[in-house]
Amino acid sequence: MSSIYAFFAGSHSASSALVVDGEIRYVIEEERLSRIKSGDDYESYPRLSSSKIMELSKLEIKDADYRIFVEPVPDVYAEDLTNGNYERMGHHDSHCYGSYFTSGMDGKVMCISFDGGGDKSVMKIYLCEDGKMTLFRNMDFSTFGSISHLWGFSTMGMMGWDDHGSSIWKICKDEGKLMGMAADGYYDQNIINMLKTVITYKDLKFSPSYTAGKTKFLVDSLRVMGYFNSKENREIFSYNLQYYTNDMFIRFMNDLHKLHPEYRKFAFSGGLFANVKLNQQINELDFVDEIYVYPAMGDEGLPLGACIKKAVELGEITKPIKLQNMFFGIGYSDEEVDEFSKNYKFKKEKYDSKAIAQDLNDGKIIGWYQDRFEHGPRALGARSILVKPTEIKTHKLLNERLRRYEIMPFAPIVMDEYFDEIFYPSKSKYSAEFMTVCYSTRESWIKKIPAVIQKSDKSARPQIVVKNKNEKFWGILNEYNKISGIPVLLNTSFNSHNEPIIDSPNQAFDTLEKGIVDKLVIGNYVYYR
Amino acid sequence: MYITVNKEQIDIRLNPYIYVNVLGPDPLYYVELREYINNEEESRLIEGHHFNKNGAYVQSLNFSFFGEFYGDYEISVYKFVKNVGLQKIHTHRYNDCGKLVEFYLETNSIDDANTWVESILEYQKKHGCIVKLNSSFDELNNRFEYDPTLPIYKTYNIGRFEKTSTDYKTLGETRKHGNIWFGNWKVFWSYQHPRNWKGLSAKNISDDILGLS
Repeated sequence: MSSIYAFFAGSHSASSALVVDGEIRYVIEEERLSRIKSGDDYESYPRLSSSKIMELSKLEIKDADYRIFVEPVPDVYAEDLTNGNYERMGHHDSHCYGSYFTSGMDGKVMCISFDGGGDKSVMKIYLCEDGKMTLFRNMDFSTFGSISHLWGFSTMGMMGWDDHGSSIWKICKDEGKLMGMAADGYYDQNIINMLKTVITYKDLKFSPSYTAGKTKFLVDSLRVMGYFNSKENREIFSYNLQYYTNDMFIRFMNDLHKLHPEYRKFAFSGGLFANVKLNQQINELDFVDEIYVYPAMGDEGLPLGACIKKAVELGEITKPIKLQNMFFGIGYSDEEVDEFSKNYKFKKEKYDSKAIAQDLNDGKIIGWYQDRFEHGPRALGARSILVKPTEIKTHKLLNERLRRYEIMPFAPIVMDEYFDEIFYPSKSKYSAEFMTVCYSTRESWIKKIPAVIQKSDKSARPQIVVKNKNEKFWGILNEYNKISGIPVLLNTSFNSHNEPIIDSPNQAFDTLEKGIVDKLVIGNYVYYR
Repeated sequence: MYITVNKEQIDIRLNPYIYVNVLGPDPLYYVELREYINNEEESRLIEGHHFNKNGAYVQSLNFSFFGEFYGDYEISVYKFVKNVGLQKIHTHRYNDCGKLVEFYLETNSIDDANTWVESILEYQKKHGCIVKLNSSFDELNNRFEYDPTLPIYKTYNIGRFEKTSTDYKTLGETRKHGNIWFGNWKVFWSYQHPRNWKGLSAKNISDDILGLS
């Protein structure tokens, strides 16, 4: 049995992972500790996260059985961290092994990774069955285009540049803003025509290559002519970007299905699948029985994927498993929290789910800080902010407190038992435990939970909360449901705009002190001013 | 060479490296450099970016690719057309057939020079170009006759060139400098040499530079 460290470093999304004896011990993204969002950090190395995992696990990197860097590897840093004793792991292989082996899927599974490029590829497809993965397609950067680049560089160019030469909206960080804005746009054939000169899809091929350069040119040209000065035009562009993305990728999925109709389950990873609206379209395809989107779908998920691949090679993982949760970060005991709290003058009482549910029903904004922090981009019940979902004005209030843009949608958490009553279709629910897919909302619920419903297409990005996987989180939903008859709460990540999701208790206490949250449930206690 | 397409005047140079500029009237133009490898039907990306003649919107004032060795390159120039998108306005594929190609031999060794001339003759046979040779050896230079009024299409420097400090961003070892550069996926050793010449024979060196290996 073996200990495996893996790292991703370079231009963005630096992170570190440790797997011991086939069991996930720690996965920490650098941004959680550096407090600089990955997209804001041009050079991104897992200096703090690797040190923290060593400290917590008491296992030095040099003493581990294996040390892995995922491609592309910054050699000087890798050599420094490991004293030159490391192996390299493929970028898309790490994505794919991470998604397939945490999909819990049996039988035939098609595993697809797609992003802006890693080890000279934009996409890999594996055909998987019974823990065996066979490479089916490798789409290399020099001859294939990338939809991820279409999004990344549209995001980067839309708002232009600041006085320091940095783009105002960042690649690998702000793509969600465009996805949010898309809801308010409408179809425009001219935009579609222009996007088609950057990338097209035909016969399992996205082309031409170098979508990055062409998108930059297109978007800069539009910006220079003043097109993006109008909010309406930004929304129209975003709508058509989403429309065209869905159109191309669904045609691709249909072509894959014609070629391999026996594959009805799909595991996805890579930055493209942070696009929950695309995931929704895929999930709604008739021939798709189930999709699973690796919860840390971006490059921050690579180290865990690399550890898993190594563990598979060593025979320590043999079949896809289901994750209980994504709580692989740092946690703090009640005693440690209490020490932090001494720097503040808050009132404190024992946590009572009924009382907090009443607070939520009264419109209070609750900071929810439990367990070890999540790995991946979503707050899944460890570092969350909870609010009642029943009033649209909640949007405005939260945006004001968190200093977020209006365009960023909020997501619901829903009790497992009520999911089908509120959302459809009834599939890919395991993936929905990680908030990676959008669903349609049933007509009867749209007016009941307006704060978590996309106003244009009435979709939502729910997180299904399962009692035996997170009893406390499920419990607050249950108590709120008893009071309100609504088994849903609004859950947003515990951070202000432009900040990474919080890590330590003092960061949570700061939000309470600043009045961002009204009460803070932290461990087994509630703090308030 | 200057090519005029409608209102655009396109300046393409291959010496000593690939340089493209477009003299307006639009604010931005995009140039992409691709290469046909091993006679594949589809070219592969080397580099592409847009530029602006006064640096108002983007940092680049022109398009340059500093590799000096042979490649079956294709240079495409695009403009932006409203409601249409990217429109290719000119393509130039490397073709020196019937054109004057200049070769500089950076050596005082007659053995090296003789070996490198063998490669040049092979190159000439393969490409059908006219050769102008510059070396320390007149008897070699005089073997090649050419019309001095012809413009030089491309110049090749053959020698053992050390890396320079400006090379590093396009090297295979880019990452050793702590950077990952996503733009250029073609790995080569330096601007002058596809491979590290240390350990290669004289013939390998010239064949590398002239794309004969």
